[in-house]
Amino acid sequence: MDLICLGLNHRTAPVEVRERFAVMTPKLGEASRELAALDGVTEAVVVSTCNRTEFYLAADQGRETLRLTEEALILEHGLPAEATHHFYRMEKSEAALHLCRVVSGLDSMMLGETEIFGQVKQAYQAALDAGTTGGVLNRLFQRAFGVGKKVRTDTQIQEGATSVGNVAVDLAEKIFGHLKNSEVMILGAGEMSRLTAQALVSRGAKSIFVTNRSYDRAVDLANEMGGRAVRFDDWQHVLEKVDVVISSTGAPHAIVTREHVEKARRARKYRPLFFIDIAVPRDIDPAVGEIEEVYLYDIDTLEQLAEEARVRRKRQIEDCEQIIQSELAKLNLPGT
Amino acid sequence: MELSRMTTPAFRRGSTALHLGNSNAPTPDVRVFGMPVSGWRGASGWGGGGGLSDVQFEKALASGLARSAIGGHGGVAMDRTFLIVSTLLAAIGGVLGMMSVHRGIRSRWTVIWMVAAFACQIGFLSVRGEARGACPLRDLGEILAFLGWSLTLFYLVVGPPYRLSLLGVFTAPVVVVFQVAALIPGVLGLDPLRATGTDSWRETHAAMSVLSYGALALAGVAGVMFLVLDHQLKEHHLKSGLFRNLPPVRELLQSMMRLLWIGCGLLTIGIVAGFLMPRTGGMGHLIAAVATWLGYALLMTVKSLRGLTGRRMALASVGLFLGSLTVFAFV
Repeated sequence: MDLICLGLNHRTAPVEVRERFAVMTPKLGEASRELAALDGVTEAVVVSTCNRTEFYLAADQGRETLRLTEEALILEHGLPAEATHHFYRMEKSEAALHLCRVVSGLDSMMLGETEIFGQVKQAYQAALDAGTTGGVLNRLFQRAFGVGKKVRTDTQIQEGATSVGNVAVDLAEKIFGHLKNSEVMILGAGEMSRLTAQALVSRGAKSIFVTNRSYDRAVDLANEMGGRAVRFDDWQHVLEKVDVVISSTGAPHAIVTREHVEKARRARKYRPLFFIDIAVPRDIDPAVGEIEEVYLYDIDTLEQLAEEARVRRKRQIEDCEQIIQSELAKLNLPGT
Repeated sequence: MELSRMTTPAFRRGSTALHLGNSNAPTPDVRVFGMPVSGWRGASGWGGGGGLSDVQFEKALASGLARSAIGGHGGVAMDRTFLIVSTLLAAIGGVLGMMSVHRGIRSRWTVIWMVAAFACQIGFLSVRGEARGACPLRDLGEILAFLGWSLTLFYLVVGPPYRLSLLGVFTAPVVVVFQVAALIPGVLGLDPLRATGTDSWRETHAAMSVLSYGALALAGVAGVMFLVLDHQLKEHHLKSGLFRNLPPVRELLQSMMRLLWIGCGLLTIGIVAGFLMPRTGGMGHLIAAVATWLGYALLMTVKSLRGLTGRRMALASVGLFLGSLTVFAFV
């Protein structure tokens, strides 16, 4: 019995090809059943995320089954034979190693991301429910999850946020803990503000106030975020009650000055206030950061923190690979 | 007779153990928040029901009733052993916790070490309490050990439930300092004398005052943690393991407030009991104790009514605690 893996991901195929092979989560079990019905295939698991679609199979004749599966997929999706160039093919221990790397986040677009672990687990569960797994794939996936957990526990591969938005959210959580009691004000309805505010909302921010020179745009963004639009002249009143301010207006000069914040301090009872300035030129006067309870971060600082996290994660790759190799060496998996 | 020669006024003022053939130093005249608690025979002028008359005192000496109920150095060794083990456990917990934090890993085991240290502290206090026949707050060593116990108690109550596990790493060294100070020769009476006749107000005063110290000390510890985190956030120094493991700013401030309220409440009871217990003598220590209470009360009032930045709040909690320690040590 051979273990094989056939797949394509963000490195081997453009999005227009990936989307043709993508399988929606509710259909994963069904897709596994279809593959398991192919000649020579005894077990099958289909993993599909926005960046990859992979087919893990146990078959009597590995090479032959790979060829048959490719043909079946091309036929089913109505693609030309050249589309097979986007596939990667792996057998035996190479396939097991690949799955461990995927589960550990080492093969992801954002190195070390944690979402993939849950997605692979979901795919395996769907195949298990569909009855398309057996001695080979059950053992492989269960061991891969163990290895993935060990990699994340024993290294810092998932430490630190790697995007500006996530860095800002992590900082907000470091200041306020759970964001469910935190209120956010967006100054300027730009794309970066929207993304950062969305990240805060996804982590439970209590309410969002949007203000913009064009009130209509503020209303649009407020509606999209489930927040409240505020006229630009009134943002100073809102400052008295919010905890986080995200600013990205296109103004050529500072919008928020030290005097603005000083005026609001007493009404705020000197509670901590977090300013995220992602505008260039900056919207918030650096002197604001000198106020005791204010934490001010501009785009350069946030970008630098994200880059440092990315570099830190890259430095962890070798340790992660060593853990995977040594764990796999202990396992003696069937089909490898 | 030797006994009658030794029961001189000078001896009665505090060196009772010497003529019993033991080697410990004279028991210091100890005050908590400026109020004496060590006058087991009322020698410090607080008199009343808690003390012994000269006749009672001499009888006690002659009959040996004033000696430790646990009898000699065997039991005493046990209480010191408990205290030493407890100190070592807290020290190990603190060091291992700091090493974990340095590596950027959350110190999950600190709480276990602190629970073990707490159990030994209870062992120490039980043995001493049994020996005294009263709350073991009769000499400086007992007060320091009780303070260590109180600090650990509040850490265990506040730390883990509020996800402030790192509080243990900061608390352990303070506990170690208090307990090492208690273990300095001469600070902890080697042969604790049994208190004959206790006054409930005196007991309440001593226990509540020292308990309040525990809560207020922990508020100070939370204040130090806040100052470290605040500095790192302000200066954008976000890479250290310490930063990753420190609890959020808001949770630290809330815990600080909670501990200050508890500490102030207990201190109020302690001071009221201090006023109600039988006493004579000067008012200096009372004024100092009330001044400490006023300092905390002012801080809480300003914070509640007007608001206060986290940094000032933290500095005030640390400063007031250190200030009150000075009162405790010198008044």
